[in-house]
Amino acid sequence: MIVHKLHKYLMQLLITALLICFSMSTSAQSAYHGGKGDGYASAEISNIVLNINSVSNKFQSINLYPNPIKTSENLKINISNPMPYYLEISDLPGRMLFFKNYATENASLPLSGFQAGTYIVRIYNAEFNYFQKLIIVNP
Amino acid sequence: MKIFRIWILFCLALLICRWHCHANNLHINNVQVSGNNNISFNISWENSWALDSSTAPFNHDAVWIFIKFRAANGNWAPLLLSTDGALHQSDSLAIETVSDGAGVFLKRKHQGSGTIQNANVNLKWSGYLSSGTFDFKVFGIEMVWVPQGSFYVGDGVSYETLSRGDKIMPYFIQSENSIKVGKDSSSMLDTGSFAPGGNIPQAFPKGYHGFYCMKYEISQDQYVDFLNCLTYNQQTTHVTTSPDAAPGSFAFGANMANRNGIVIQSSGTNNNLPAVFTCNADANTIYNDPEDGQTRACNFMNWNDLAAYLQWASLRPMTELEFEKICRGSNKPVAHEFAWGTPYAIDANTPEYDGTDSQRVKEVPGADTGLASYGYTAPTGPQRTGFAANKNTNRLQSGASYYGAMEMSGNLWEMCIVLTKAGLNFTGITGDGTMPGDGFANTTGWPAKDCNGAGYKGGAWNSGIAGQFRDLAVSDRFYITLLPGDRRNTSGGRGVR
Repeated sequence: MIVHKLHKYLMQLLITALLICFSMSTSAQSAYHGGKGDGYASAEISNIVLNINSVSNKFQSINLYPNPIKTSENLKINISNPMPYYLEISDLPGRMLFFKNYATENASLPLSGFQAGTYIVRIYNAEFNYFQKLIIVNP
Repeated sequence: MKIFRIWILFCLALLICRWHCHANNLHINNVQVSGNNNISFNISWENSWALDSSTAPFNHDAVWIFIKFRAANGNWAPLLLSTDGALHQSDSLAIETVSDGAGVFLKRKHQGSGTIQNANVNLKWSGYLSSGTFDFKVFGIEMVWVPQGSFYVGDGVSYETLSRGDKIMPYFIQSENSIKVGKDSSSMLDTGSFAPGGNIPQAFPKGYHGFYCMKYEISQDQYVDFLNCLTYNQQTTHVTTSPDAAPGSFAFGANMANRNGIVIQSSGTNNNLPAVFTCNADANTIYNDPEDGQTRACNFMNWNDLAAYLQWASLRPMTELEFEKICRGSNKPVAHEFAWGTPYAIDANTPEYDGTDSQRVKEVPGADTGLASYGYTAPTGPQRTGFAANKNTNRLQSGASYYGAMEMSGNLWEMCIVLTKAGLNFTGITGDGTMPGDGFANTTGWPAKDCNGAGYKGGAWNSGIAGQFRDLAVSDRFYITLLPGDRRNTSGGRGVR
């Protein structure tokens, strides 16, 4: 009998505790609460292979030529829909060697300052990101 | 008795569970890439709210998401997201796109409050990447919404406070229209010699329109992530120690200074391989352990560091007018008030769980005092961002601004766009996520390398609040004309968008 009453009492206690917890978890959390951490997080995923053989690009058609190219030549870049864009050229270790923003014009970039080798060209803006491997050879 | 013990254990478990469910605890995990242009992840955070129409301060929080990618051996670059909101999906969050595709805001789908638990988010990037191997990084920053509305600047008594032109009293901003400098009732002046450097143009952000503000100051692990996305040459612009220094070298001096624990984990190679940075605030042999100060506010930032971070994160600096709105909201000014709305403060100088993501202090504020880090006393450096807030705190106890931004008064000075002649060139353009080769921000209208147009607001861990020198006061402008070119042990900041 005592155990039964105790059980009943604890059951009421538990229900009350649950109601309190529930009300706390659903009550208005104010702008002034907080706790652990710094309101910041990041996460990374590596080595994702994208194999895009045929891209239906509704934004742009980008033509970068010639490739391979001689150091004595100018690299030409044509974009189908003129709009401002950035041009970056980096070497394979990742050093950015050239950076420029273009208004709407097609670029013609002399490569006399580059050594023969393999580079990564990136052309991008808010609408597109384009990568192309560029091979520069001596004349 | 057995039943009794079971019930007691159950109740205890319930209480323990409840105890551990109060933190903001922002987490992003399970990043996946699929198809030609989809990236997904899970996100959790606690104490979220959306009470725009029901409860003061009538706003909501959100997480600003931006993504970087790199081709094999390439540099990190911004991954621009589709501006068509219909192309993004989440099972339980609303996704707010931005016009430049630099990221998205994630927020509660419906009015209410509570925990966001492992929400799935699927985003589509714009354009395409060519075939190849890529790495992706997803970044999230908790923000608070500062809604559109009128507000006051100036409190009538603080040093160099902004004022109405015809008499010393707060100036009421009711639109983004240009503001004249002059001596009539509709014009603005200040009470000393730091009057605006000219009429404030329409394009200068005055804070009337709604905007998001980072809830916290930039933290040390946040700055580490930034450094680790830069090239060697860019890194040299944003630390004091050369990136090719030995592992364990502190980034901002020969030894750990003023609680900044950022160190070099692996050395860079001059002009070639960037260094890898990490945190080691306890200066032991284990990097990035739970007591390494990752969540402390990042000091030793100068203007060029802050501007570069904000451009890289596709945010922008706040103006000093926006600073006052974030702090005061729509309330009438109180003389010498701090961010929490009263002119009284208690110094937070006894840290507990120091260096961890749960660092707090022992001090308990009274009924009209706010808790803040200031006062020339220990600890001699910044505390964890949001150190004063917990599950039960009110605005004063958490030292929060009207809209819920933490440490707007104290901890670290906030570098802002000020109303000097150079500052008035600012038009509120947000960063595009890129980083020029030299590592200096180059967004149009932002103060340049010489820092002209930027200044300090809000005080820091070593500020006084007595007499004239009430650095923490919302309307104090004592250091508004001090160019933030030096890496001070008291300077940091945050961004808005």
